[in-house]
Amino acid sequence: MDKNLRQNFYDDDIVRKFIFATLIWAGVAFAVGLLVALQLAYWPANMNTAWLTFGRLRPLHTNAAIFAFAGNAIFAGIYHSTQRLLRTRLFSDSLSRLHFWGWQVIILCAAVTLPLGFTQGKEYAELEWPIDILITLVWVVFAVNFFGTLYRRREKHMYVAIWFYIATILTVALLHIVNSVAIPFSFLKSYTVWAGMQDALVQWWYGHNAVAFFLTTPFLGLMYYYVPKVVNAPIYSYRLSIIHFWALVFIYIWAGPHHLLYTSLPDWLQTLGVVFSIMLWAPSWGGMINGLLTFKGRWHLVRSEPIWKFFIAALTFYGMATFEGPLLSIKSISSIGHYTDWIIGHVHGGALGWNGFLIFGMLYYLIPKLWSTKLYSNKLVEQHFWLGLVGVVLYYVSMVVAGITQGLMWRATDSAGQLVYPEFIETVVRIIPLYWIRALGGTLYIAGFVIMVYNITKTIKSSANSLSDSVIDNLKNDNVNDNKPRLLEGYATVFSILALVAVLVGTVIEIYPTLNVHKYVNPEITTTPFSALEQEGRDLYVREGCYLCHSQQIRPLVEEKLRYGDPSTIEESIYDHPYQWGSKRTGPDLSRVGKKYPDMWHYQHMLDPRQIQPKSIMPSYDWLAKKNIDYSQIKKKLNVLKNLGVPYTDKQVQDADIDAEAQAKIIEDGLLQQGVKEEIKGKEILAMIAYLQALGQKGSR
Amino acid sequence: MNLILFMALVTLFLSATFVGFYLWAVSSEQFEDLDTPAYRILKDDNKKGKRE
Repeated sequence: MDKNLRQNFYDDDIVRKFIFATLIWAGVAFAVGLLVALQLAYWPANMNTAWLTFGRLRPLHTNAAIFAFAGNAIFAGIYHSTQRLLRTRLFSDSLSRLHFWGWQVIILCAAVTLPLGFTQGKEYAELEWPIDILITLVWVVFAVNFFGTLYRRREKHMYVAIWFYIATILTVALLHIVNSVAIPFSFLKSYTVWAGMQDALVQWWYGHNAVAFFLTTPFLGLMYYYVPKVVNAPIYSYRLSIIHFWALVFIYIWAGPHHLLYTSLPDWLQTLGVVFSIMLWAPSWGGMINGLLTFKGRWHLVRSEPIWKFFIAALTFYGMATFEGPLLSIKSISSIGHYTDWIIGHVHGGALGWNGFLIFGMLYYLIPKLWSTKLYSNKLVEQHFWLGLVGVVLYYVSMVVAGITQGLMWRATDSAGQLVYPEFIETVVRIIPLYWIRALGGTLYIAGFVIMVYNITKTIKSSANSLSDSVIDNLKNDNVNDNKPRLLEGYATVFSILALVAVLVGTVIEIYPTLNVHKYVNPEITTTPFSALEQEGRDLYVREGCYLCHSQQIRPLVEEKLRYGDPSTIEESIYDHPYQWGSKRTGPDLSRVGKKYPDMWHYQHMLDPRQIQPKSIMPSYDWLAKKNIDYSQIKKKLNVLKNLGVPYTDKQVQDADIDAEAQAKIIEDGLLQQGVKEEIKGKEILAMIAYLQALGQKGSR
Repeated sequence: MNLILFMALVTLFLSATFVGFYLWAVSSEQFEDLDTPAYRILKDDNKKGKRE
């Protein structure tokens, strides 16, 4: 070999590992998704088992889909494309493996703790503090490995895909750490340091940007690499990609408050969220157009290239979702769409259509390359595509129709100013056929996935030779492209700092003013914190995932006042760690449910909702009447809350367990008097009833 | 501070920063070559081989 040449090997093994993990976790995420979909259509599918109820499995589904399926796919794609774009092997083989196995351990921990009810009660950030710390550590390993590779790169110029990876790594770290800060009171339980409105803001700054920087920017990076590679043509406009990147990362971070329109979040924040969400339309479509137009002049080939179809459909879904997002952020449209299944349809258009199809396309492209073979069957790819597409469309359309139907029914008033559908259950029963159609759509999507797994298995089996790493020859001079002017895109550090500044601007402007949350509280209104037993009940409410179907936030709209009472105020939730405003009303809002019904009503309703409301689709929670309240933790809980600023007196903390037992006894006696036969002394149901009866009763207005 | 005034100042400052950054980018020839990077990624791979 020429002395001036040096051989370099890429680490393909780690990419293959992440691909396997992607396929396995995709199966889990899809299967759990189908189960929770069936639970909504047919409540007995909750199987009367605590760890199989909707409230516990829904977080498992979302976490598996986002962090396990999409996460592993992102890592596979980033590790494959980064080595090639930077013309060097990954920084450290050990760090790569540590990253891989660490991430799988995190997913396993999630798969165990979430069904057991260990949750922080914040959407997509449910995992408890020890797992949060593990995520942080593994993410740092990933970051060191990536930036180390960047430092050692042989290609000076960083291609646009790399910019998106940089923004992803930095921003996800920022989001995760800020949103997950919590004070533990036991090995697996903690309270978030954020409270009420502040927690809502931080949570949706995180939540929306989990969509932005976990499900969008890394996928855009992958799109910018794999679409040109698959088509074998340069990206339509490199110029547009520069505008796309900077506008997108700067604007996205501001959009979180659009999840909180008409809530007690301060108006200026809501308006800011709306304005930036609408602006976001432009860069999003810039990216979509850039991807789609890369196919320019080659459209006739799409007929015979089934893999292309996945990329084109993915980009199209990206375009639809990023048009619908700004639309839903307009206050008047949000007033219909919020809390309904429209939002569920919206996210699945993105998750199944954009993320899913892009991943499938990428895998079909990568696997034959990494296993040095040919794809087993193009025909099966074609079948997968059409099944998947019909599946997503059925899912999306049924959920949008369900959402708009229910949204309009909730707000319908007659000429006398009365609600046309005062019984919430009427609006649920109406959309159950659509829940079945959604489950059918999901089934088709899964059928397509099964075909893919078969196709891939056959492909891998046909690869005869032993697996090897890809090799490239390089000049001994490390910098392949050093004779060009040193542009910004050649300076990794400066570039990373600028990207971080771009996301910090919106973050600081929105979050900093709310750090002193008491500025927004009317000092004349006093809010009493929950009693020890009520707080215990609140933790059960979080454990069972009640917030996934019930909101605690009444909007200042006529129909909401008629149905639920006065609009929620900032003061009412000011001591809530975590806030439980919710984002979906599969059942009615609960913020003023306290004292609305007698204890006996709640007792019967929790044990078997059908006793009270024959058509109810809520699971039965009979284990609440079997499990004992754990009084041993209550002091520690109140102490942590006191340290976080909840105004408990020292005596309240000291006597927490005694007070709780006393209050439980009162509720127990009342229930026994009204004819409850079962042994309910010290059972969890008492704490749950205490909490539900306290909702809306703590503020003096 | 009055929030509107604060936001107006922030907006002006940010806009000025962006315009300044853009002018710097143009004058320092950041946008000189917008074609080769897009083509370069197409010709990377890809032989298979064994590590020695």
